Amino acid sequence: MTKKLLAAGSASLLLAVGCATTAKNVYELGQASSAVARLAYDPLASQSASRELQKAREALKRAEQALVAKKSREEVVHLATLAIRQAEIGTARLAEVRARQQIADGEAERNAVLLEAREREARLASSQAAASELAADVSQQAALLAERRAQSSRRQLEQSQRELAALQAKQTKRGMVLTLGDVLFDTDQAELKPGAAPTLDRLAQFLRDNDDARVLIEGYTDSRGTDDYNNDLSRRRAAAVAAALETRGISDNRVNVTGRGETLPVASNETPAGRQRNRRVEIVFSDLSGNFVNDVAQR
Amino acid sequence: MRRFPLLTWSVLAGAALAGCANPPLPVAEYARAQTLVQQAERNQAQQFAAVDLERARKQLQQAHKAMDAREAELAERYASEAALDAELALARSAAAQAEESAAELSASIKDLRAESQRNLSRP
Repeated sequence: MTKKLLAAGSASLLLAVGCATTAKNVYELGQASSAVARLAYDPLASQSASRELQKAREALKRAEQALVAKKSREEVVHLATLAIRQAEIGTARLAEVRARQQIADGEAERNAVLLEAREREARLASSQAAASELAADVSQQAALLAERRAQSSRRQLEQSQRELAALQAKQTKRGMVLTLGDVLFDTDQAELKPGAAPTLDRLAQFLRDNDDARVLIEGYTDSRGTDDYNNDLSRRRAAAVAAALETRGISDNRVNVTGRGETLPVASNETPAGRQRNRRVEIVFSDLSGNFVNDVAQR
Repeated sequence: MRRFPLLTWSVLAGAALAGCANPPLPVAEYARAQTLVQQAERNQAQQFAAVDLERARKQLQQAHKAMDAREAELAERYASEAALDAELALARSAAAQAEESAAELSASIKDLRAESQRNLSRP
């Protein structure tokens, strides 16, 4: 009897619940609870997903209330599922916010990198410009300097040519040659007459103006007398000219002296006038750098 | 024995009134869920949140069936779940797209830095 009653009671209870069974341990409710907690613990949630978090909390509360109110299992599961979804939406929003922050940071970084690259290019360009400007400057100055040097050496050459012309030096195969005539010496003597002084002054001036120029001083005689005598006399006359230059401040290492006697006559020894022309001292000039044509100094 | 049938019937009647009576169908909720699913589809959820979109579609289908069967309460449940599933698909799709952009940007910055480094070491 009692068993029958109990069976009937259970049956009627089951019927009474009808389209629903009361929930006790609903798995989804636990899931919802931890999903909402996870979202709430995210430090960014209160700022960037506060609306979603609030909705998730409300949904969870409704699910819990449904459980307390002994609503059907389906209803509780449904409400818990809504809470889970709401929390998941919040989590997805936070992921999006983080990605967007990353994009903003990345764009700033990219701009910085681009700016840096542009600045570096600009620096490089300006330093290249400065370098080429400097190079242009240098070559311009070099050209100017070369031009000045050319001008100055041209002037020097012209000056020296004028001076040599004043000395009545003549262009020969051996270079410029100045001839000091017999009249500047006493007969058979090696002493220079005072009349030679202006010529010697100009010669010394020329050598002072042209530091590197050198001279070869050659004495010559006519054919009268012995060779030994003539060689000695011609040498002494050349040496007298060198000595006169030395007293005018011209170092003897710029001056070569040689006596050539009666060799290389410039006129006939048969006539007094020809012999007079043969008695002479020739001064051979080097170029302005000190080099003689055909190396006559070594002859 | 006499009291139980009485109780049983009264409970049955209450249950009928509470649960199984037919409240109005959730037309607005259903429409809202449908709109959200379409919106998710437009926002490339098929590509970026396929699972969530699929679930939203199924729930919407269930809601439709329940509407046809005039099961208002059931239809309301399915419709509200479909709506949230669609919202989730939208949110996850947006997040995935933003993450993809961030990754692309990060890669381009890496390239840029490498290029810049190369230019720097070039004589």
